[in-house]
Amino acid sequence: MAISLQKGGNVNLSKEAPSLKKLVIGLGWDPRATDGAAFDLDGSAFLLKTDGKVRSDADFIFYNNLKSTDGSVTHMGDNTSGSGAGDDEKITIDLAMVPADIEKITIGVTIHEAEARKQNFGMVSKAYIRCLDANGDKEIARYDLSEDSSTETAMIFGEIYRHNGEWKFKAIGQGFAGGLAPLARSFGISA
Amino acid sequence: MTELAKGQRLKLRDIVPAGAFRVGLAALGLPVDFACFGLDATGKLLSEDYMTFFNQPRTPCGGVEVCAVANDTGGFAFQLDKLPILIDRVVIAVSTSGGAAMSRISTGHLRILESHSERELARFAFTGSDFSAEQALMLGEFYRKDGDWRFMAVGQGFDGGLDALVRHFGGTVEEAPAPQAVAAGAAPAAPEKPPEPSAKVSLEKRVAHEAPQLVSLVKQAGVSLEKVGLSSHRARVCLCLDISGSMGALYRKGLVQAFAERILALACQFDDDGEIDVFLFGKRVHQPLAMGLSNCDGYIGQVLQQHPLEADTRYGCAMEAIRKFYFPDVGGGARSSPHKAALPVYVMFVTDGSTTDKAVTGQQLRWSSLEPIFWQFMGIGQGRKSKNKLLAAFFDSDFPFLESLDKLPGRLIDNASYFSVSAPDEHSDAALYDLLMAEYPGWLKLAAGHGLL
Repeated sequence: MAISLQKGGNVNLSKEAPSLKKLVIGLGWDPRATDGAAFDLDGSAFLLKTDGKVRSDADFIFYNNLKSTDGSVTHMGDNTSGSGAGDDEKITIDLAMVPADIEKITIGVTIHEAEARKQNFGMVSKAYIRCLDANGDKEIARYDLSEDSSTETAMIFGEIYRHNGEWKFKAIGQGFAGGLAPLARSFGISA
Repeated sequence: MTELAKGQRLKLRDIVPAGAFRVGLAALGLPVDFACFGLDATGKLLSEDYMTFFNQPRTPCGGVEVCAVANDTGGFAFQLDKLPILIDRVVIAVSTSGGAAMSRISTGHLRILESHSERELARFAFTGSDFSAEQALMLGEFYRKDGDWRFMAVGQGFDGGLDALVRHFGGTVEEAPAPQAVAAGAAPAAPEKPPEPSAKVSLEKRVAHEAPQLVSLVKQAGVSLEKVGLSSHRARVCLCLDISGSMGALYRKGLVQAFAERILALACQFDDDGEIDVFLFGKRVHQPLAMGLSNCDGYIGQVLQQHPLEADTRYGCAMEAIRKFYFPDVGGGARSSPHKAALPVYVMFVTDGSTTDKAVTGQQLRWSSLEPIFWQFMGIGQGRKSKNKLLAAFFDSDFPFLESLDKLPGRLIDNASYFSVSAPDEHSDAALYDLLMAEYPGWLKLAAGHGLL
């Protein structure tokens, strides 16, 4: 049975899934039920050093840069409406391939053209992040954000990080004013 | 005082601990009407009694009431603790008449005030530039979360106006006559009129009254059905129980009774009579009185007194009897061309061992693939004991035959699903209902595509 996390909660992935090699981060949300522009959420990943910054712009994985140079992190592509069953966006992480100088991988989600479309996370229903073992697609942990989101247009959903030689996942649910570019800049991207 | 923006949430306990307050409403610049909708956990209107507006100014429970608010154009008084537990959300909506779009609003607001004073506690302000062609808007909603009530400023709506809003709340959809009647040209429900209490809504009331222990189960089943888009789906539900001797312990522990109640709750979502047809099979097949809300308490125990456990397990005989009951035209016998019916039949088939009439069972499953009947098998036992695929495929399961049924060739469409559990209560309610809906929605599409529905 998968672990349901609250904001700030964490789970030891290495303990919950000892045979875990490849991690799938699934992001999902409900498509818009009311009239108006669709909710287009974009997932992204930042490979960060111990100082919380990227090594270079190539460590920012998103819809225009789908794979990290070392091949450890792959973005599986963009869903622009939240329709369809299952996860709307997926990012896979091959844990053994993550370079040693990368301490954590932060998963951010932004709303595309939020300002022009007058949208924010509070308007989006049933947004979640979950961790799965790619081998068998078994869910390890899940964090439902709907009650923790409000007027933000960019959010850090969660992060995967090293801890005493093991991998852990933490539910963050922290809003970030201004969208994708300021979020990226905060991690040292020259956006 | 809290200023709220679209999408923002608020814990009501922080501002109105007793859950009693008033809401003042204004939308200037065009003529509007305000209404309040009481919704169940699936987002559907609980009943027409819970649409509160000028023509129906109060809910039966008194939890929502139209009231005048000084300096505002509309208002409601709330006493949230009076609302029935089945009400999960209360949405405050505004609609225009005469086709005007909400972009014409000059200024407007939804504000929360104390019950007996003019003190303002929170305000959600908006203008026409927040909207475009919408003719109806959900302004805000009160909803249950972790035992408390919260508020969210919504500010989203529908270009189609009040009609579209009411449809969003399931109003006219559930009222639609059965598919066959529609094909025969029956007039659809007039979109202008407020939603009628649907069969399902009155059934939910009956559940709360006659079998309150099922209320949360019915809710949970609704959540799983919503996930697969079957919220307003209708079907006949049948429970087929193995009464072979080895099942004895499960019956004595009350596990079968508890499981039957979970299926009854599913039936309350699928069915309009709140009953399930029950079949028992061992050496022979019996059909006791249907299980319903009025007799569900201790039902299995009573049925077993009339039909003691038996010495054999014959799936095929049971399937024949079930087909004969639902499709009497071939009397449970051979079928060679697709047979159509208005409502599908969902059979929950529970057993703890293999059958002694495998050939008959296979034949029944093939024939019934031409009928609108879906077989959900649940094997109680160890299931697959080995993770080794090669071994498991040959003998390492208590239910090799059930597994083979799931893949039986020679059928029009795949009309069966199978899973095994170590005990009937192994899964949580939520997980069980998800399992029960794993293959059924796909079968429904296939069945409709092949003219069975």
